[in-house]
Amino acid sequence: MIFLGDRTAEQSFSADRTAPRAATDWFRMHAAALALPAERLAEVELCLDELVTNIVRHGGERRRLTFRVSLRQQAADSTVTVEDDGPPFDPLQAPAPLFTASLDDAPEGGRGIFLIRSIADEVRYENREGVNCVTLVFREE
Amino acid sequence: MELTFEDFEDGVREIHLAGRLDMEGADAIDLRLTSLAAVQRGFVVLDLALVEFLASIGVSVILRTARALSSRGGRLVLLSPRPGVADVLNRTQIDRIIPVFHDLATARAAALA
Repeated sequence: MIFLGDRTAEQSFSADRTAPRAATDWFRMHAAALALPAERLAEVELCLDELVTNIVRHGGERRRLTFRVSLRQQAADSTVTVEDDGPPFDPLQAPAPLFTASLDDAPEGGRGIFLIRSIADEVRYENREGVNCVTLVFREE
Repeated sequence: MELTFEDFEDGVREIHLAGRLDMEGADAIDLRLTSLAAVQRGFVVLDLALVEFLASIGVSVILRTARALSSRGGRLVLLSPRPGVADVLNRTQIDRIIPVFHDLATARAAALA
C-alpha cells in the first residue's frame, strides 16, 4: 500500500474470487481517506464490491488479472477509481435491468451496475491503452 | 457466511444466514441453499438479521432460491434485514417480488399463506 498524501490511498489486488472481500476489507481500513459519513461509506463499499465482482466474473478467472483501487478526496468529491486490464467493459453502456413485479420474469443479473449507478453521484469510464478505468464520485448527501 | 436451518411441524423451514453475502458468501451457501429449496411445497423464512452485507450476487442467490421454491408450489419470505441490506433489496426492487417482514410470526404466517 502506498500513501500518496493525507487523504489518498491505493492498493493492488489479484482478481480471484476472494478479491471483492479483500478489496472491501482494505476499503474499510482506509475509508477515512474519504470525507463521508459512515452511512455513505457503506454505500461506497457496496459499489466497490460490485465493481470488483464484475471484474472477477468477466475477466479475472480466465487469466491472471490484477486491479488497482485508489481512494481520493478532492475538494467535495470523494472518488474511488478501479483500474484493470481485463476485457474492455464500460459500465455506462450496460443496459438497466428490467424490473418486474413477477418472480418468474425477474432478470437473473444486471443489478450490480444498476446499484452503482443508483448510488454514485457520477460514474466515469475510460479505456486507457487497454486498461479499464472506472471512477466513481460520491458527495455527502 | 454461515447457514443453519430448523424445520417446524407446521411445515415452515427457517433458514438463518450470518455474515457477508458477497461473492465468497454466495459461493459458501449457494449449493446448500439450493438443496434446501429443492423440496415440494417448501415454505421458507430466510432470516437475514445477521447478514452484515448484501451484494447483487447475493440478491441473485436469494432470487434463485425463491424461484426454486415457487416452481414446486412453495414460497420464500425474508425476515429482518438490517438497514443496509434492506436498502439493497429496495433499490433492486426485490422487496416487491419477495415479501419482507420484520417479525417472525408475520413472516411464518406469510410463508404458509
